[in-house]
Amino acid sequence: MEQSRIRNFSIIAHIDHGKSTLADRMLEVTGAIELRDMREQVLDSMDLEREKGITIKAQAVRMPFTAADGNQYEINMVDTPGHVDFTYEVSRALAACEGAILVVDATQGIQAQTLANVYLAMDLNLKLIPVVNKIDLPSAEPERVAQELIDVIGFDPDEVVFASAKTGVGVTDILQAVVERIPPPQGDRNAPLRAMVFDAKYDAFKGVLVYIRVLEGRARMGERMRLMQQSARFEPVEVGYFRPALQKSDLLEAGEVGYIATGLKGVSQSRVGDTLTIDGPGGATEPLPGYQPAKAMVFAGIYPTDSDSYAALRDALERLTLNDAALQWEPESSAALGFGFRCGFLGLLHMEIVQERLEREFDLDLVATAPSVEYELTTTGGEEIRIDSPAELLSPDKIAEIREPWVRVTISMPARYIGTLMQLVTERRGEFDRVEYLDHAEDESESRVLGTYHLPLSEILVEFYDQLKSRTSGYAAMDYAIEGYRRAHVSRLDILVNGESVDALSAIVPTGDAGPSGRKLALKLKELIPRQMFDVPIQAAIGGKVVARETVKALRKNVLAKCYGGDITRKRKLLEKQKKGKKRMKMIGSVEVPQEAFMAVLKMRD
Amino acid sequence: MTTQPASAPASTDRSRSLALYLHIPFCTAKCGYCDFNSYEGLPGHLVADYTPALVREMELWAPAAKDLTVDTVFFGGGTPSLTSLDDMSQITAAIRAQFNISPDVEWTLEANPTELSREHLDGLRALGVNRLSMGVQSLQPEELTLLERLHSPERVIEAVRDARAAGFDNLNLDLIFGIMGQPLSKWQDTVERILELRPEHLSCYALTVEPGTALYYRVAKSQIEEPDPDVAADQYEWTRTRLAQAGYEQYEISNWALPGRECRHNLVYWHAEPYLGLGAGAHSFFLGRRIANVDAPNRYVEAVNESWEERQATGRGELRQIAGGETPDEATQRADAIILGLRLMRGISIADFTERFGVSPDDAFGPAIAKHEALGLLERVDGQLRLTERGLLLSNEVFVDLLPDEDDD
Ligand SMILES: Nc1nc2c(ncn2[C@@H]2O[C@H](COP(=O)(O)OP(=O)(O)OP(=O)(O)O)[C@@H](O)[C@H]2O)c(=O)[nH]1
Ligand code: SF4
Ligand SMILES: [Mg+2]
Repeated sequence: MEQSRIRNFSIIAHIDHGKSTLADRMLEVTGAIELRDMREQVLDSMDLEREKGITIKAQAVRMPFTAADGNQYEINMVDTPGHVDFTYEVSRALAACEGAILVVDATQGIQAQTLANVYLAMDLNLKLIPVVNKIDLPSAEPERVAQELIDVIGFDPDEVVFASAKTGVGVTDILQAVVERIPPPQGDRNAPLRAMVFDAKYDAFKGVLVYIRVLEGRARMGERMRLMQQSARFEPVEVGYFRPALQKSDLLEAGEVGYIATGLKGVSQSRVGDTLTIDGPGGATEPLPGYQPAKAMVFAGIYPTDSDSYAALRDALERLTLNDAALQWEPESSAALGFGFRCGFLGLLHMEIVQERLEREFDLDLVATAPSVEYELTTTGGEEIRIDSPAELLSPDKIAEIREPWVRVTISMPARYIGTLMQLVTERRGEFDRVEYLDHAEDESESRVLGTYHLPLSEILVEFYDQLKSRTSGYAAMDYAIEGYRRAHVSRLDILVNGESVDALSAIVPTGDAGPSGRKLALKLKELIPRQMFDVPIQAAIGGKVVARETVKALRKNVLAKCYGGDITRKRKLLEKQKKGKKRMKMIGSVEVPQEAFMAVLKMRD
Repeated sequence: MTTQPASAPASTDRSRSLALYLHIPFCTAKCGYCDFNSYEGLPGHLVADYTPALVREMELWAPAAKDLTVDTVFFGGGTPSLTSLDDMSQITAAIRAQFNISPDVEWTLEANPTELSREHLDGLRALGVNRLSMGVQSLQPEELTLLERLHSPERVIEAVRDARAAGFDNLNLDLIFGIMGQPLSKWQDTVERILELRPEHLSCYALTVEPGTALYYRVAKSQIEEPDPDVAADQYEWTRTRLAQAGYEQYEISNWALPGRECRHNLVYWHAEPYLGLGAGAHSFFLGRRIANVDAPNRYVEAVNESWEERQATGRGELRQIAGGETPDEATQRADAIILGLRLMRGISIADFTERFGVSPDDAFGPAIAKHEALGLLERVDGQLRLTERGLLLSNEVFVDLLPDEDDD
């Protein structure tokens, strides 16, 4: 397709504002997906996405569209995730496009994450099309939300498109706006090939698949290619585009989005942000600028439950990293858990998703330790070190100063919750910065505002979001970004199980709060560690001094109920289920400890 | 440990014997804790079609059992006492026609006290039923309500009296302990009043809240609390002492009998001896295979009829009522033998096991046995390996470690 007939755009929005549902309607209107293959949020193809009802991976898809001018266009759409933990997916998707649809829920208005996404798109100079979605809902306030878009982001009134992804109203208007307002791509098709790798995936048959946006030149079957950064060379096994399933086409030209099956089996040979070109004299000499690497916010150890699976876990991490460019990891070991990996994540949801994907897609049983932020530490000897796990915290006499990461948190909410938020933020060692009005309702308390606060990152990791939601009846939404380090006063809380110190259960807590934290953590562990064949004492200690003690009493009863009529197979199945449950636990000495126990520190506030 | 090995008969030579189980899947109303293959409110025609299907299934199996002698018959359910005497006489006639029945056969029928009339009991006795197993569960009205049992405590006493009068001199009563909110004293009261009835046999099971049951739903919704395992353990320990005092011998984790009154049928299961199960959802261990029939009564009836008609027409054909089966491999057989055998108070004979499998229990399960001996859950006494007193209530902890390793797929 000639470039004047190509349009590339992403759909961006705050979480749950209807991106994936809107994508469904566009796929239907354009006939890109056969009706019989259609289902709700069809682009959310991972099991996890469907179970959680959220998008985790950005997903590209090509659609044909006949515009009002009678011409046929090739439209490439990328549905993106809305959750703050997956912003890295959004930024890479945006970099493959000339424009974006900004979706705003007509019942919610502009939310914190809406603005964060707008800034991402503006940084890339993308054309934005504002869409007010869910206008079918009785509680929708389309005019008010449109006014917010005009006032806060600066759109023209006639730019706003009204739509319902549920009923399909406005969907053709959006596509028409895409054709009219988003500029076509303009790369030189006769220049040497330069294509940006924005995502990748491993396929057992076709090797590494790289997802690319061609910026210049052409990528076709039969030509040897090269990934410039990793200097991996290959001849493509397959070239094609997304529909959203892989569709062979043999040729991708400047302006187009698609994939190349490289046949490469070594997963470390490709990396997101790399540049693809022709191998040999026809190739480009200068790679594209690439992406900023993702900056991990939280760190946790991931260990196989069964230490024999260490190598399998390493392979799994390598493959998953292909498809999750934000994930970082390096080997580490723990006295209690054996050999595993220290992993860096963009947030707790990201961490949860990674663990789930590793377990499901690679059939592993894993234990993850409680997440920690990264501290900066100046030793008494003047040395600067960074630590991201409690085990690495030096004893107090060796520390001159500790600093912890702080974040700038923006929270959108009705004005009546300003006081509630103030309280929550103060409880969490945070500071108020300012409040801006997004609109002005007659009743001042109904106006929507954007509050800005500063908090230690560690304080928003643990149930901050849940608290925010419950204290504002779900009306508040948040976004956050790292803004720097500040001095911290923290100590390590050690946990002893059955008399033995368990490094993987220790936690870094504010010094002033260490005693109560120890009691809460010991109590929580007592709830989470199942009863064993003997009494199991649990102790919390600070600097060798025990501050709390609980006991998990010995189990007395685990016996099968009546099974009728000699159904021995079933008895065996019941036992096998118990055995599986035990296998998922980690042996710490002679105590079976379930995965959840390692997360106890997150549940302390209950 | 000072307890004597119980005197339950060891595995006598039953190589030419067969145990017969017949499943009657109908109940008046589903009890709150029940996850057995039983149904309330099935259409009348299905109940009517069930008896002929059972008879036909016997005909299908009979040739395979022609060299064996049936020394125990067990009608289980569901509620076999709901089956009319008419149907019952057709079924018993067919049993006698199709199988060789030993003269001293133990012939058990499970009954619910609710609708058990004196006439019915007389009729059953006349048909040759000589052992009655009654689902009592509790003698506390509030517990019976919680369990959604339909009968009152008084009805139990009457039914037992009627059974005695009808000539049943071999009676089992099923009881449930460890019910949520049930204090030790209530359980003691139930047991004391049951002892006054002097049944020959007692089964006491701890309540388990099984997924899918009404009780499970109520616990999940926090309408009722979960059973307290420590209270259940106290109740169990008290029961062992009290029943021993009263002259009952415990021969299995959940079963007690007056001397010589152990249930022959249940011993067949625990000795891993062959049994043939007939009816919807019935299980068999026959000709070296473990077999399960389809659960749904309507599908069972259809399948049996199809197989029977095919057999009539062609003289052959598969048994379509079978939903699945397995031929246990050597490792599974060993595991079954030890897991089932350990349920018995006397445990397993180390010599017999070694002779049967050509490998000693220690060679087959060394680390697991050592671990649980160290934990005080297993012990060796007079060439037997058995659960300790503490091990009885923690038997699953032992059994889990005796399971064969699953093949990694
Ligand atoms: N009534 C109504 N519901 C809608 C509309 N659009 C989306 N929804 C519903 O809103 C919910 C969220 O929709 P999604 O399409 O999954 O939202 P999303 O923006 O893709 O969410 P994330 O990918 O998790 O950020 C779903 O329950 C949709 O059915 C609409 O126009 N009208
Ligand atoms: S009577 Fe027995 S089989 Fe029938 S529902 Fe009650 S417990 Fe289940
Ligand atoms: Mg989505």
